[in-house]
Amino acid sequence: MSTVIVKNVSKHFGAQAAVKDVSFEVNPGEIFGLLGPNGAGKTTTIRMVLDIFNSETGSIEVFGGPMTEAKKDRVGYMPEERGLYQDLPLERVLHYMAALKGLSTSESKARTGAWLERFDLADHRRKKVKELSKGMQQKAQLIATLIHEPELIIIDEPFSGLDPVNTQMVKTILRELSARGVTLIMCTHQMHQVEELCDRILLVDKGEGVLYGKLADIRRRHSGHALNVRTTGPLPALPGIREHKTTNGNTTLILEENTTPQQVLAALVAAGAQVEQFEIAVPALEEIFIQVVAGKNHPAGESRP
Amino acid sequence: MSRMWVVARHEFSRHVFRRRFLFALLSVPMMLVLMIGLIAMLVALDTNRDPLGVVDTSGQFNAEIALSADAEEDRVELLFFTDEADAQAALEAGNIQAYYLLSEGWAEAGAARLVYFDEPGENATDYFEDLVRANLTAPLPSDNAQRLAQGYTIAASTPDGSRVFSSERWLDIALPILVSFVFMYIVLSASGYFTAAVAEEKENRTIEILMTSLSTNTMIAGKVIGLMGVAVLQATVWLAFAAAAMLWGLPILNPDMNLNFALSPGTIVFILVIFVPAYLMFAALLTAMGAAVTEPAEGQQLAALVTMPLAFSFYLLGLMFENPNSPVAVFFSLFPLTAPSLMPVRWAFTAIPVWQVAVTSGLLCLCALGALWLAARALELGMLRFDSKLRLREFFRRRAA
Repeated sequence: MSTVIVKNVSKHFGAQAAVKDVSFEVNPGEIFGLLGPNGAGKTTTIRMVLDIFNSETGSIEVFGGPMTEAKKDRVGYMPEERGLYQDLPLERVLHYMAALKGLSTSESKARTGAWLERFDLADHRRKKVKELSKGMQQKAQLIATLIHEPELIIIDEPFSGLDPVNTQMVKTILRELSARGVTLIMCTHQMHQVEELCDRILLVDKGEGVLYGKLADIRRRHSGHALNVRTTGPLPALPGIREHKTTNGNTTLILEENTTPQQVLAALVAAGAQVEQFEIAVPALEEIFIQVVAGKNHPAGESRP
Repeated sequence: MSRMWVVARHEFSRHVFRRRFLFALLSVPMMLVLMIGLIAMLVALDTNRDPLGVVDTSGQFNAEIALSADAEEDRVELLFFTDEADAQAALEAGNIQAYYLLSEGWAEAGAARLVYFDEPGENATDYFEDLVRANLTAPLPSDNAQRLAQGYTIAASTPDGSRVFSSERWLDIALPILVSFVFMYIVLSASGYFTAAVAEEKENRTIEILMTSLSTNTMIAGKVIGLMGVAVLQATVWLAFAAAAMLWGLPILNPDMNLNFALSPGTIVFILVIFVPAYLMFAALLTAMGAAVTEPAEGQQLAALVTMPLAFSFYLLGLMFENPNSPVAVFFSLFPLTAPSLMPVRWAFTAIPVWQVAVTSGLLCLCALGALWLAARALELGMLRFDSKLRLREFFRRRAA
C-alpha cells in the first residue's frame, strides 16, 4: 500500500490555478523528490497532502485514507520558511513541538537530548533560537520534524544553510530513516542532492506534473543518442558518428540516427582499441529540469502524471 | 495531556515567565505597598505622645473612666492644672503639647477649648475626645452608652429580602466594582498578548508547523485558556494584595476601623456569570483580530474596535451612579462589550432583576462562543495569508471543497 496517493488534485487561488490535475504516489520507505521551479505549486500540493488546504478536485490518501488529526502525529513536516519561536530557548521549543505530537515529557527529554547531541547543538540548548546561526536553526528545525519519529516526513529544502559536513550528516540521517522504512518526500532545488538521494521524482511546472517516475528511467529517456567513451590510445575513426566532443580526455560521441551503441562498440573492438570506458551518456537531472521547464524538450512518450 | 492543554500551558508560560510580565504583575502591588508605607509614615508623623494638659474648672471630668482597647492605643499622659495660667506656662515651657479648657457647664454646652502652639498629635486629640464621649454617656444605661458609641448603621433591603445594602456588607458592593476595574485594566493592557497570540506565529511562520499537529479549534481554545490563566493569575495577585492591604494596611491608617469581610453567595455567582464569559469573549475576539492580520502591530490597531467600548463605559459611570435603572443604563449594562464594566456598578447601586443578570450572562456566553468560532475561522482562513489581511465577508463564505 502506498503511503501517499494523490489523484488528480487541483487548487485555485482566486482566478489563478496553483495546482492542476496533479497525481502521484509515494511508496513506503522511498525518498521521493518533488521538484519544480519557484511558484510551480509544490508547496500548495504539500499543504493539500497535509490537509492545511482542501483540494478542489480529486482525492488524497495518506496511510490508506484521508488525513485525520490522529494521522498528523505520524507525519513530520519541515516547511520551506522556517518557523520556530525566536524568543524562546531552543530546548523549550523542541519540548513544545514534541508535546504537540503527543510525546510525554520523559520521552521528549530523552529524544531531544539525543538529537541535540547528534546535531552538535547540545551546548546551545539554553540559547534563544534567534541567537543561533542560520545553519543551527536549520538543524533545530530538522530535530523538530524528526523528534516524534514520524512514518512520513515531508521536508522542503532540507540542506538550506548547511555546511558540507552537516549536509553529509543530514543525508546520512535521511538514508537511515529510509532504510528503517520511513517514507520521505523531499522538495528541493538542489538537483545533485535529488540524484544522490531520491528513488523517484515528480517535476511540477506551472501547477502541472510534467515528469514523473523512477529517476533512472527519466534520465535514460532524456539521454541523447550519445556515448561516453575513453580509450588508452587515440580514438580510431568510427562509422555512424555525427559529432564528437572531447573534454579532459573523455569523449562524447553523438551517433547518427541509425547507429546503435552495439555497432560502435563492435567497431571499437574491431579497430583494436583498448576501451577504458564505454557508457550511454545520460544527462544530469539539472539539465533535464532546465530542458523540461524551459519547454525545450518534451520527448514523445513522456510520462506525464 | 490533551493538545489543548499543551497549547494552554505553553501560552501561559510564554507570557508569565517574561520579565516585562513579572514587572507589570508586581508593579501594582508594589505601588500599593508604597502608598500604604507613605500613608503610614504620615500617620506616624501625626502621632505625638507628649503629655496633654487639662484645665477642668467644672470638676466634672473623669479621666479614669474605662475606654475601649482601640481607644487606649492612643493614650497620652494627662496633666491637670487648676488654672489656665499654669497650663499656659507648661505649654510655653514645652512640658505639654496642648491643653484643653473645660469650663463650668461644658457637658451641657458641648464645648471645650483647645490651646496649642503647634497642632497636637491626632492620637492625643482622639484620646481626649474618646474620654469626653465616655464622660457624657456615663450616666446612661450601659447598653445605650454602647450603642451611642457604635454610631448608626443603615441597612436597605429589597422588598423580597434578596439583597441587603448596608455598610457592614460593603464587600458586596466593592468587590464587583473592584473586579470590574481589574477586568478592564487587564483587557486593555493585555490586548496586545491576545492579538499577538496568533500574529506572532504567523510572522515567524511557526503556524504552518502547528497546523500539522493541531486543529484550528484546538489551537484557539488552548491559546484562549492559556491567556485566561495569565489574566486569572494577574487578577488573583492584585486582588490578594488589595485584600492584604485592607487587612493590614487599613488598620494602620485607621485603627478604629472594624472591617467586615462577609460576602454574600449572590455576589460570588454574579461575578462568575458575568466575568468568565466576558473574558472568554474579549480573549477570543482579540485573538481573531490577531489571526486576521499579517503583523502584530496591525492587530493592536484593530483591537481598538473591541477595547474602545470598554474604555467608553468610563464615561457612563456617572449615569450609573445617579440613575442605575434608567433605560440607557440598563441597555449598556446588557450590551456585551460594555456589560462587564457597567453591570457591576449597577449591582453596587441598585437591586438588579435576576432576569437582567441572566440575559447579560446569556448574551456574553453566546458572544463568547461566537467569538471562539470567529477566531478559529480567522486562523483557518488567515494562517497562511502573509501579505494581506482578511476581509469580514470572507469569514462567512462557504468553505471550499
